[in-house]
Amino acid sequence: MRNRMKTVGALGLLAVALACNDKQFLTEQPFDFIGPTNFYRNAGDALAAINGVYADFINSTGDNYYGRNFVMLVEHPTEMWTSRLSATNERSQPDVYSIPVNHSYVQSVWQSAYDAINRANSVLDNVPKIDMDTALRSRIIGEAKFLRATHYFNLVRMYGGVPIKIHATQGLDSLAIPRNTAQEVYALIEQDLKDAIAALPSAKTYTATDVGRASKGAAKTLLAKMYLQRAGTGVGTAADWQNALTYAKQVQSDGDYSLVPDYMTLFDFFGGTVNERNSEVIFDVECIRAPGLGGRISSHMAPTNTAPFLGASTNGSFEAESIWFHTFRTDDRRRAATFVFSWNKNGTVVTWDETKTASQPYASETPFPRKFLDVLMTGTGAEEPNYIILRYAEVLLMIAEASNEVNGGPNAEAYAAINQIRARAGIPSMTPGLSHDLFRDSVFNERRWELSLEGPNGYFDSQRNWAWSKARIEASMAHAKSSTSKFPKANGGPIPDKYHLMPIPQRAIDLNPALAGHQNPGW
Amino acid sequence: MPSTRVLSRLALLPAFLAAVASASAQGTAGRISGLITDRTAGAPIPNVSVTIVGTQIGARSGPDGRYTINDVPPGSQRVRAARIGYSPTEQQITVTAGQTTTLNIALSAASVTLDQMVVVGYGAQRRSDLTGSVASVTPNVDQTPTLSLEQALQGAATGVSVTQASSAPGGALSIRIRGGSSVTGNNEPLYVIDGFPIENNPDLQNPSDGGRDASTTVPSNPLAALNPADIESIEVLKDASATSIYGARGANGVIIITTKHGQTARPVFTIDTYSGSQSVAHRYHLLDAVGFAKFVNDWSVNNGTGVVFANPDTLPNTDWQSLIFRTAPVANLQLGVTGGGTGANATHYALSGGVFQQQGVVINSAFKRISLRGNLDQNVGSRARVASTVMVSRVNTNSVPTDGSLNAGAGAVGAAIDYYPILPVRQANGAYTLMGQNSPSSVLQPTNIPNPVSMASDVTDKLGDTRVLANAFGEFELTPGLKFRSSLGGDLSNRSRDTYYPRTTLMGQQTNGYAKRGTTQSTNFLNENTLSYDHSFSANQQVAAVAGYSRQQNDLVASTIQNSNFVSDIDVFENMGAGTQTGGPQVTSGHTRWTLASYIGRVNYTLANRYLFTVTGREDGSSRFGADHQWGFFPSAAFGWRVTDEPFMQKFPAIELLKFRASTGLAGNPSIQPYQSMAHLLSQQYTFGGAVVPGYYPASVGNPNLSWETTHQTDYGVDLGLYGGRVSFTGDIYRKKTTDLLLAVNLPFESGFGTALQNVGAVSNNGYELGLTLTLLDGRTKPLGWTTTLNYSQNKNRVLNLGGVQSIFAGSVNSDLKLLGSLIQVGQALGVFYGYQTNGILRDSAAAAAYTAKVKPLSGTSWHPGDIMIVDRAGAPVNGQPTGPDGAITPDDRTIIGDPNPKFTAGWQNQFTFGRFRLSSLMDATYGNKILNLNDVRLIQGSPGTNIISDRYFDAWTASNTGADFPRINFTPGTTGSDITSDLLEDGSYLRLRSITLDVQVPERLLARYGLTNTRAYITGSNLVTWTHYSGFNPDVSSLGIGNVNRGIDVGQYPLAKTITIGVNIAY
Repeated sequence: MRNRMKTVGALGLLAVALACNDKQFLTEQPFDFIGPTNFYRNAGDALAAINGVYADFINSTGDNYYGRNFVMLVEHPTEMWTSRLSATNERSQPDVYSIPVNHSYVQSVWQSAYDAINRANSVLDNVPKIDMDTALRSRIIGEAKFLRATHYFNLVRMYGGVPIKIHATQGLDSLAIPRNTAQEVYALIEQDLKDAIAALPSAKTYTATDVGRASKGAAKTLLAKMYLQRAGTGVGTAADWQNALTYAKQVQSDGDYSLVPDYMTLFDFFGGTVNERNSEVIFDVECIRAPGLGGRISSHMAPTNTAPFLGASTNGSFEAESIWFHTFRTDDRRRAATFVFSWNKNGTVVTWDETKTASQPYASETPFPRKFLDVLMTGTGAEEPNYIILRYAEVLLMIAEASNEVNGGPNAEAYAAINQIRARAGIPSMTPGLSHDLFRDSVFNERRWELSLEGPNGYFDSQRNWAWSKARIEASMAHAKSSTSKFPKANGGPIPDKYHLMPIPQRAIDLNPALAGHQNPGW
Repeated sequence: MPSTRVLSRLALLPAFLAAVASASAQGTAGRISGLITDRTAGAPIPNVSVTIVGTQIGARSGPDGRYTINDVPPGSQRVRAARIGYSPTEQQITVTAGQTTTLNIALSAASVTLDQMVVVGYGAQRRSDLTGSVASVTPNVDQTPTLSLEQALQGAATGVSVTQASSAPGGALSIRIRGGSSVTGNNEPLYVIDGFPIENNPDLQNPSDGGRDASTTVPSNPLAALNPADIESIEVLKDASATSIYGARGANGVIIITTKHGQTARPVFTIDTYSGSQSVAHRYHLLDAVGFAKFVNDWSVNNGTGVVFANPDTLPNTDWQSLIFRTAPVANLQLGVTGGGTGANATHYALSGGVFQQQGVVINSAFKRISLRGNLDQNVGSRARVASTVMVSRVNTNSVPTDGSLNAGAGAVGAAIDYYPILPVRQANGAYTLMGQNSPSSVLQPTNIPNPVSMASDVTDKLGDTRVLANAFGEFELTPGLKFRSSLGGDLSNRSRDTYYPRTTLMGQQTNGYAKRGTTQSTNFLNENTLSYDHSFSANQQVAAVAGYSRQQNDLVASTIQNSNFVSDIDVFENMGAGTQTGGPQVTSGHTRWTLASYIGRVNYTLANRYLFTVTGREDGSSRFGADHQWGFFPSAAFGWRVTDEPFMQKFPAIELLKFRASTGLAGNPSIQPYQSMAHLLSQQYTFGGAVVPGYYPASVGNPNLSWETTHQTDYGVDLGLYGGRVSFTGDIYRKKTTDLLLAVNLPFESGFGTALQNVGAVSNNGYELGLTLTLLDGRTKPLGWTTTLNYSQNKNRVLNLGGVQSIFAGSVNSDLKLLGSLIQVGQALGVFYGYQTNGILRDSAAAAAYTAKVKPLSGTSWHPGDIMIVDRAGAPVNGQPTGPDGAITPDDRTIIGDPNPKFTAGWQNQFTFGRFRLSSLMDATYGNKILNLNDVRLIQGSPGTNIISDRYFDAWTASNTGADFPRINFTPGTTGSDITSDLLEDGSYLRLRSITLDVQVPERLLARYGLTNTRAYITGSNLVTWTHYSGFNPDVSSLGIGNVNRGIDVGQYPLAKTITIGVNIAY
C-alpha cells in the first residue's frame, strides 16, 4: 500500500515537473515571418521598416492607390481627362459627377492611405527606441513623417477632416476613432513636415541607390503645397499664402532642383529611353519593369488591346476631353509629350486624326495620353515610369500662385516664375499686366498643361478655384453630352456643390461606428 | 485563469487516488479457464470478452486466446463470450468452489454485435457499458477496392456523412460527423490511429497547387497513404462524453482506427489479392456533330447571321468524353503473417505488406501505394509489456487536372464536356486543336478552353507521399488493476508535387512551358503517459479510471518553386533553372510549428451493475491559441441506465438489452492555424534609384484572446437488444451548439488592417440517428442466413450568430465566372445558395406579354415566349425593411434558392449466407440536398460558346414545342452575369448500390493438400447502380474543396467509376 502511494506520488511529481515546463513548450516560435517582438532591433530593421512604408505607394496597394484608383479619382473629375467606358462604369462615375457613397475607388483610397499611415506610425513608434546611428535614425524618422504627411494630405484634400491616428494599431480595442476637423489634420501635416524638414538631408546628398527617398526639398515643397491648399480651400488663413510662398522660394534658393531643358525627356518612356532620375523630380513613386515593383497606370492609357497597340492589358481608361485638348497651342512642346499622335509598333504605324471614322485604327475624338506610357512594359504592375508626385516646375507655379495672392496681383516674381515654365514649353511669355483674378486663372491653366496626370493634382487644384473650375468642367461635360462627341456621356452636369469634397466611404462608416452621422455635407 | 486550470487538473487526482487506495476483499470461489478459437480457422482469438452472465465478473482472452476468470461463484453459470467481429455465444457450465473448470469456446465471425469491445479514447469498453455515442465499423476492405480509410465509412455508420470531394485516384474525401460547425476552420474529424492523434487538413498539407488556382481545386488526400487493409476496427466517437477526452480537438468528432495485431500461437500466413476493372459510371449526353451543327444553324438564323453549316453530315465528329475516359484496371496484393508465442515473455507479431495499384478512368491518372506494417508485442514477465506499431508507405499519384475551374483554367473533364464535337483532336499540322483559336466559323465565338486531350495526356502532374507512422509504448502493472503506460510516437510525412505544362497545352503555349514543384515535410511527435485503474469494490461497484499527460509537437516545412519560359519541353520540371521567366523563378518557403500539452482524466463508475456514470475531462494547452487564452478545459458527464439489469426486467426475457444514455459536455475545434493569434510583419520590396530594397510592414494585428471554437453537445440515446441478439437497435438524439466561432471580422479601415480573426458567432447542429440490425434468418440453425442493418441520420444545421453581421458571402464560386459564392446567413444552414428564383418557361406569346406587363426584366424591356421567368419577389428595402414585389427584376429579388446540406442520409447493409456462400451488399442514400452544377453554365446555354447537352437543343422551347423542358435557343438560363438563377441547382438526392459481393468459402478438402486452412473467393461490384435525378457524373460531389462554404458545387469533376473486382483471400 505504501509502495503504491509512493509510486503514484512520484508519478504525480513527474507530471507537476512537466507542467511547470508547459509555458515554455507552448510559446509560439515564428520561423518564416517576423513578429513585432523580434523586429525593430537594429539599423537594418529600421531601414526595412521605412522601406515598407514606401512599398505602400504601389507594391502592396496595387490598383487601389497610386497604381490606378487614386489617379483616376483625381484626374477624371477634371475637364482634362475622360473615361472611354460607359457612364455607369465605376471609372466614369467620377467623370460625370455621379459618385455613389460606396464607390470602390473612393473607398480604396481611404483604406490605402490609412494602411500607409499605420506603417509610418509603426516606424515612428519603434525606430526612436533603436540603438543605432543617430543620423540615419533621424533621417528615417523624418522620412516616416514626410510619408505620413503625404497620406494625410491626400485624405484631407479628398474627404476633409478625417480621424487622426498617430500610433500604430496594436490590438483590437478602441479602434473606432471619431473624425477630426480639417484644421486638426492640417496642423498634424504641418508639424510632421516641419519635423521632416529638420531631419531630412538634401536630395543631393543621397547616393544613387537612395534616390527616391524623401528629402529636405521634398518636405519643403509639400509644405508649400499644403499651405497653398489650406489657403485656397478656405480652411486656413491668408497667412498661409505667405507661408506657401516662403517655403516654395526656399526650395528655389536652396538650388537642389532645376528644370530639365526639354520637357519631352521628362516622360520619354515611349521611345524606351529612361531619364527618370533627373534634376527636376523632387519626389516620385519609384518603379521598375518587374512584377509588383512597377507602375500600373500605363495599361490604362493606350486605347485598346488590339494590334498595333500594346500587347498587354490595355483598356483606354483615359482620353483627353476635346475642349481642353484644343486649348493647347500647337507649338506647345508639352502637347507632343502629353498625347500620342503617332504609334509605331513592330513596323505598323497608325496616326491619330480627328477626322477618322469608327472602323479605322486609332479613331477617336482626341488622342490618348502619353505621359506615363511604357511601350516595353511586360505586364500590368511591371511598368518602368516612375509616377511623379512633386517636381520643380510645380514649385515655380506655386511661387506664381502664392505671390499673386500675397500681393493682390502678379508682380515680377510671379511673372518670372510662370514664364520660366512657358519658355521651356516653347510658348510666348504670359501677357503682362494681368489682373489678380486673370493671373490666378492663367496659373491654373498653366498647371493643367504642365502637370496633368501627375501628382495627382487635377481635382485638388479645382478645389482651390472651385467656381472657375466648375464652369469649365460643366462646359466640357455639356460638349461630351452633345451629338458632336464621339463618346457621349448620358448625365453630364450640373455639378452639385457637395463635390467640393468626396464622400466618406460608406464602408468606412459601417466599420467605424464613431463616423456614423458625420458624412460630408450633401452626401 | 491559472487558478481554474490548476483546480481542474487537481480535481482529476483525488478521484484517482481514492480509486487506487481502496482494496477489495476476495471470497472463496471457483475459476473458469479455457481457449477461445475461431470456429472456421481454428486459430486462437485474443481480446475476447468472457463474462458470467448477470454479473460483472469476467476476463479477456490473452494473445494466445486463453482466458481465466477468477472469483466465480460456485454453481451453474452462464458464460458469454463476445468479441468485435464475432457472434457472441453463451454456454452453461457448472463451477465448483476452489476448482478450475475448463471451457473452450469457438466463435463464428459475424458483423456488428451487441456486446463487442469498443475502443474509446485512451481505453476500451464493452458496448453494453458505454455511456457515450460510439459507432463501430468493421471494414470489409479486403473485398472491395477501398482507396482510403474514409471510404470504408461510406454508408456504414449513423451520423457520419462522407462526401467524395473528388473521385480521382487519391482525391480527398470529406467527412462530417453530425454536421459541420465551423465556417472558416477545418471541419474534418480528428483521426486517432493506434493512439496517435492526426489532424487531417488536406488543404494545409497540399504541397503545391499544381499550377492551378489552389482555392478552387480539391486537394489530394493525405490519409491515402494509410492502407485500409491494415485496419482491424474503426470507432466513430460522436457525443461529448466520447469526444471530450480529445479536448480542444474533439468537436468535429473523432475516428479511432485500430490496426491488426498479432494473435495466434502459430504463424498464420495470409494472401489477399484482387483485381478489377473500372469504367465511368455515368456520362453527359451531349450533342454530336450533326446535332451541334443544327443547333449552331438555328441559333445563327435566329441571330440574323444565316446558316453556318450547310452540310452538317460532312463535319468531323469527335466524342471528347470517349477520348479521355477509359476502362481502367485496379489491383491489390496484400501479404501478411501473424503469430505469437505463449508464456510470460511471449512475443506477438503482425507483419504485412501490400501493393495497391489503380489506374483512373480518365486517361493518364493513376494511383499506387506500397505499404509495410509491423506490429510487435513483447510481454516482459507477467506485469509488463512493450509494443510497437510501425507503418511505412509510399504513394505515387499521377494527377490529371480535372475539377475546379472553367474557361482557360478548365481541367480535362470540364474541357471534354465543353469542347465542340465538330472539331478534330488535332489540326492538319499535328498541333492540338484549340477551341478559342481554331474556330470553325467566324460566326461562332467559342470560349477559350484548353484541349481536353492535351490536358489529360500531356500535362505531367505527379504527387508523392512517403509516410512513416510509428508508435511504441511500454506498459507496467504497478499493482493489480493499476497500470502505467508511456508511449512515444512519430508521424513523418514527406509530400511532393511536380507539375509541368508543355507547349502542347494552352497554359504551356502561353508561358512557353510552365513548371512547378512543391514539397511539404510534416513531422509530428507525440508522448503520452497514462495511469489506468480497474477495480471492483464489491459486486455492486466497479471503477475504471484513466489519467494522463500528453505532449504533441507538429512541424510543417513547405517550399515551392515555379518557373516558365523554357527553351524546350525536354527537361520538364527536372531542371527548374532552365526556365527564363521574366523576373526569375518564383520561390516560396515556410515553416510552421504547433505544440499541444494536455491533461487527461476519465472515471467510469458502475453501481449495481446497471447505473453507469462517466466523467471525462481534458485540459488542453495549445500554442495555436492566443497568449492569454492558451488553456481550455473540456469536461463531460454521462449517465447510462441498463434497464435490463433491473430485477423487474426478469419478467421480459426477450429483452436482452435495454439501456438509456444521456451525456453532456464540451469539446473544441482548434481551427486556428499556427501564429494566427500573433501580429505579423511581412516582407515587401520597393526600389530606390532602380535598385530593389527589402522592406517589412505590419501585415496583421495580434489577437492574444484568440481561442478554440467550443461545441457544447447534449446527447440522449437508447440501445435495445431483443431475442438473443437477433434484433438490435440504437437511437440517438443530439443538440450541438458551437460558440466562439472563428470569423475574420472586418476592422475599421483606420486601423490599417482589413480583418482580424476573432471568436464571434455561433452555429447549431441538431439531429437524430437510428440504427437497426435484424438477424432475420439465423444461419446457424438453418442453411440460410440473412442479416440486415439499416441506419438513418438527420441533421439540421443553423447559423445562430455571425458577430454582428447578418451574412457573409464566400468568395466567388469561380474566378472565371465571377459568380457570387455561397452564403452564410444568420437563421440559415451553412453555405446556402443565393441568387434569382425562376418559375419555369413562358409557354406562349400571351404568357410572355402578360408577364411583361407585370414585371420588367433585368435587362431589356420585354419577356419573350420561351424565356425562363425570374420571380419578382421584392423591391428595394425602405429603412432597412423589406418591401414586396415592385414590378421589376432587380438585385433585391435575389434570395436563398437552395441548401447543399441533405435532409437525411441513410445506409442499408444486407448479408445473406447459404452454406459456403455469402452475398453482402451496401446501399447508401442522401436526400434533399441541392447541387450547384456550374457545368450547366455552359451545357444549357443558348448560344454555341461550347457544346451543350443533347436535350437542351432537342427539347428546347419552340412555337411548336411549347411543353419543352428547356428554354428557347438563343436564351441562356442559369446566370445573370454576376448571380446564379435557380436553374443551375439540381436535386442531389441519390440512392446508390455502393457495393455488392458474392463470396464462397473454398472447401477445406480442396485446400488441405496445399496446406491452406481458410480460403475465400469473391466477386464484388462497386457503384454499379445509382438512382438519381442529378445530370452530372456523380451527385456525391464537392469540386471546390472540402470546407463548409462553397460546398456541393460541381465544376468539371472527375467522374465516378463503377468497378468489378474478383479476389481471393488465402490463409495457411
